[in-house]
Amino acid sequence: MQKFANPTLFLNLANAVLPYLIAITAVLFTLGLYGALVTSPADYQQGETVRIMYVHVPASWIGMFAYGFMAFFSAVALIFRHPLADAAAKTAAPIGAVFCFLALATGSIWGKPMWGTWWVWDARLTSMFILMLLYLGYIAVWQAIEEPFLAAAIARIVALVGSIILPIIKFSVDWWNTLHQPASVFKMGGPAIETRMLAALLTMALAYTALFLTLHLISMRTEIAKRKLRQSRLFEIRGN
Amino acid sequence: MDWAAHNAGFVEAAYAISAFCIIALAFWIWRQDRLTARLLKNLKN
Repeated sequence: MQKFANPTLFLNLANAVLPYLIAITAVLFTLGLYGALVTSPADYQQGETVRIMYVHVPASWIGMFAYGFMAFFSAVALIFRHPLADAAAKTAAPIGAVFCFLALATGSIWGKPMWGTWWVWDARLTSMFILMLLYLGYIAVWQAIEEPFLAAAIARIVALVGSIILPIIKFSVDWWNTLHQPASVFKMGGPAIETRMLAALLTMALAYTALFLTLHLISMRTEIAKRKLRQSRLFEIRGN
Repeated sequence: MDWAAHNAGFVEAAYAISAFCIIALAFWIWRQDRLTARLLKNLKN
C-alpha cells in the first residue's frame, strides 16, 4: 500500500484502470436497471413501489460505505502520514454526501405511499440524517480553512469521531422500535428476499459501488493536479 | 412496463431524482478534472 502512496504511480494506475471501470459501471447499471424495472416482480404488500428499493438501498449502502472509507483513510493519514490518504478521504466526501442525500430522498418518496408520510423522526431516518450533516460538516472544514495542513488535521478528527454513527445506523432498527423495517439482506440466517429481487438489488449495489470507485478515482486525479498547481504557485511566489 | 401505471409516479420520481443527482455529480467531477488538467497543462507550457 505504501507503494501506491506515490502520486505519480497512483496516477499511472488510475489512468490505466479508469476506462475499464467506466465500462464495468455502464454494464452493471444496464443489467441492474433491467433487473429492477423489468425482471423483478412486484411485492405482495408494497406492489410496484418496491422498485424504489433498487435505488434506495444501494444509495444508503454507498452513503455509509463512503463515510467508513473516509474514516479509514483519515486513520491511515493520522498513523502513517501517507501523502494520498487525506486526498482519498477528502474526495470521497462529496460523492458520499450525494449518495446519502439520495438515500434520504428516495426513502422519503417510498415512505409517502407506504407509511403515509414523507418523513418521520424514526431512529434509522434520524441517524441517516445525522450522517448527512456529518458529511456537510466535513466538507465545510475543507472549504472554510485555507491552510491545507490544519484543514486536514481537523477533517481527520471529524471523520474519525463521526464514524461512530455507522454502527448506530446499522443497528438502529434492532436497538430501537422503528418504523423502518429491519435488515432483510445482511442478517442472520441469510437474506429474506425473493431471488430475482435479491439479484437485481445486488447488481444495483455493485453498479453503485463501481460508480463510486470511478468517480473517486477521477476526483483523486483532480486533487493531485490541484496540489501540483498549488505547489507551482508557491514556487513562483517564493521565486519572485 | 405495466407497473408504471400502478404506482402514482413514486417510482418514476425516485429514479428521476437518482438519475439527476448522479449525472450532475458525475458532470461536476468530470468538469473539475478537465479544468484542472487544462490549468496544469498551461502552467507546464
